[in-house]
Amino acid sequence: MAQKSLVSEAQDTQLAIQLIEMGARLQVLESETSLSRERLIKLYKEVRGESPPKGLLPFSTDWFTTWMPNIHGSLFANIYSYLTQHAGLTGIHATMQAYRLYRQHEVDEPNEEPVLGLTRAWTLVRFMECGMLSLVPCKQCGGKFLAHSHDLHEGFVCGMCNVPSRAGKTRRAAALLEAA
Amino acid sequence: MDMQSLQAEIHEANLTYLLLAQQMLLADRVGAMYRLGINAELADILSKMSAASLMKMAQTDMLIARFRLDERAVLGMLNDYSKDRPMAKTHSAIMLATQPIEA
Repeated sequence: MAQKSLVSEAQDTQLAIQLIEMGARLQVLESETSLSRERLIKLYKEVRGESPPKGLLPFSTDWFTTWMPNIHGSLFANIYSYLTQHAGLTGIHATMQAYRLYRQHEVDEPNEEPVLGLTRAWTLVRFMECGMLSLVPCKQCGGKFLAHSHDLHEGFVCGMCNVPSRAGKTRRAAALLEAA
Repeated sequence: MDMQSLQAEIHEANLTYLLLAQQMLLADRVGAMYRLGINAELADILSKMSAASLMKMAQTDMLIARFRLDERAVLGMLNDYSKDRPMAKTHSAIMLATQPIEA
């Protein structure tokens, strides 16, 4: 076994702390750092003051094709591909920077739970790397939106140019409207 | 508007743009590159330019910044805002991020 480097361990710990603060689940930490599971759980408890949530990560690509998640996911994916192509970022750092920029865009409601959490964003990057989801240009506005890679994309129109009739009319939106 | 005051306005807009771009790059390089839509080389040059050379560069009669959206995207934005659609801001951000970068 290779000698464990103190420097890389410190860097990993730093990275793990940042990720936990941004809302990453344990599975993300396990795959992005080389720290042991026990240490990660300890770290999680220390940073968040609670045990890490158990259970599987959300694994459905369909979630990203529903209206609101699609728009948020597309924004994140566009930022991510910009950063990897033009700013020379790679791996988890690209994901973290893109997520930071995505959250900065959502300044209207800073205290609300974001539509796209860091863990979701991370799975989205993996879906794109596996070629399950890709960015498809909309025929009308030219913006790129997430879609299943193997769907037919001829004449694709995005959810913003062709808003579905019930889009955005959630119970929460109605409550907000009433409160205003 | 006569030509002279038009030129003065252009110089001012150029200088404001260059100063803002440099400030953004120094504060947060990656974020600024994404927001400005520029590549790494241009980002390096802009962030290293001195105030004097920024001033000189601004003293041209042409505008340095240009529209990053093509006519399709502008129409789309107009449509969004005039109909007061939800998430119009997000839509324009997606359209801008899709545009090719300025070299």
